Amino acid sequence: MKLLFILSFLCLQTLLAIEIPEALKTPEDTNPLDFFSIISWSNILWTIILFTISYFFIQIVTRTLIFFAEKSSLLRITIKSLIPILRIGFWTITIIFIIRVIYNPPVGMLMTALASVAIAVGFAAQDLLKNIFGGLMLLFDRPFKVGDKISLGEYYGEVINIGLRTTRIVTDDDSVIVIPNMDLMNRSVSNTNAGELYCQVVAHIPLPIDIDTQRVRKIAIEAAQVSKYIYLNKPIVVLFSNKIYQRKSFLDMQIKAYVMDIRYEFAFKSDMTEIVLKELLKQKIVDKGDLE
Amino acid sequence: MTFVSTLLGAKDITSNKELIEFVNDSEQKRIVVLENLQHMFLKRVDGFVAMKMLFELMSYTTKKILWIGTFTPASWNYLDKTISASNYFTSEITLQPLPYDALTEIILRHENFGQYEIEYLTSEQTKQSKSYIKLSDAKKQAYLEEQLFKLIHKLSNGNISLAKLYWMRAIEGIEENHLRVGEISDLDYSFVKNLSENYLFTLQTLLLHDGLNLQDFSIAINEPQYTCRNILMPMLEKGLLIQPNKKYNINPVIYKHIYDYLASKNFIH
Repeated sequence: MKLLFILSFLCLQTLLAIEIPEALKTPEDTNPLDFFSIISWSNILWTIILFTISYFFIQIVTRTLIFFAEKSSLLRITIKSLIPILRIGFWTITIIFIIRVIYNPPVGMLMTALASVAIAVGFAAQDLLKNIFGGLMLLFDRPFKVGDKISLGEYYGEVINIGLRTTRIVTDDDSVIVIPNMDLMNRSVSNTNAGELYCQVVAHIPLPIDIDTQRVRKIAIEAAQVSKYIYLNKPIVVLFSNKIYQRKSFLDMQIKAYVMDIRYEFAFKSDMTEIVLKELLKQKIVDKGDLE
Repeated sequence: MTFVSTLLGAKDITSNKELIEFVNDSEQKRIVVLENLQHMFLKRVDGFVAMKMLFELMSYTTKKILWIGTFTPASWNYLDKTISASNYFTSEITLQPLPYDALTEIILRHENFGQYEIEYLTSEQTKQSKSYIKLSDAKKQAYLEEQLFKLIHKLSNGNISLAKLYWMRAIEGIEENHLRVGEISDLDYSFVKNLSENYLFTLQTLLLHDGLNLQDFSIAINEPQYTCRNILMPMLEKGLLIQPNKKYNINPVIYKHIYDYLASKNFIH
């Protein structure tokens, strides 16, 4: 990450240090309000060409990185987390290049333009600006990365894109949720895996209050161990707590285990529940009536 | 239980406790080597019972018996993380891949190929290579032998069984005392990365058990036997699996690549 910032900084420095030929330079005594003096058909054409080239270049880089990220599970999240930073970096460089090399406005005009734009945008698009600043803060603060699973209010899913204005997550029922970055900055976000491929999964199983907890714990631990989704480099924990539902007391068993890839989170939860219940019924530790 | 008690010469043993007493009461001191212990468990609830009984027996009889057990690396890792297998052994020895020289020595000298006059055949591609052309006739055979064994060593990752398999594949003909050995080519393993999720979970299960028959596979993946047959048969047809006896196992030729790929996807860790 540090290397990326250093590279971006060097690129910007190089751009700003480009010596503009005298013929292309706009005279310093140009009226700062006379914006039309630096606009010409050729400048507009070059701007469109450069934007198009940048767009396709960024698309190619993004798709290439996604291709390689999907090939390697271990590097998937790391590579994907670099994509939004690279995209913003490339666009910033493109815009600075266009302003500096194609239009090359005198300092006075640049200041006037920036001030005008700042006032206009500040009034007209406060929310947009909040979202953009939110997006920038997300990139620097990095509370989550592309590939992480996050929970925000009622939404829970894998982050697929962090843009300047919005962040997209895909939920487990395959819906894409677009969340304005402003919301992500102002609300509490829970990150399930924090950049790792594995994450903890908790399966809750309600059981009769008088059950043999030692036997059940042994079965629950083995159920997690034999699941094809288990990540065994992390501990498996089984906890019991007393709960009351409709004036009836029951034991809530929590099996806390780690799944080897966050994409199998729900499959793992289901697998553990299925194996435990099947075994409890098979060994006659519970009967169907207890589970109703 | 029956297997171990028969091995130790005990009769009418009904529990592990009785077997422990029998061993500790005997005057005899022994060394017991149990190979392929990965076949003593099954990935299911209560599937580690036999293994745990053996470990219990081992831990109570260390004064009378020196226990030596062998496992595949994948099974050992799995069992160590689930039932702490390493706690029951005083030391672990990981077999390293055989170096190039040792591998060549074993194949050529120990397999009675020394009695043959070996002729290494050249492909058109090798005949045109500059490094081959500039060699004298006397050095050409040595060069071809070195190239062949370097490739065998690379493909087999120092595994002697696999190396022998490649060597046998390279032999093109035997006439009395004359052995003709051709060149072998490296395989394209990129297809491993395009295997479906279903195949990967199947390979994971077979890798951890070092092969399973249909019935045990069905128990291990918690699917009915006809579903399992529908998974295994196409994999067998495609050459991903082999079935030398009743057990389905990963084709040794792609074993290392499958292992690495499953590890990269966190299927084994």
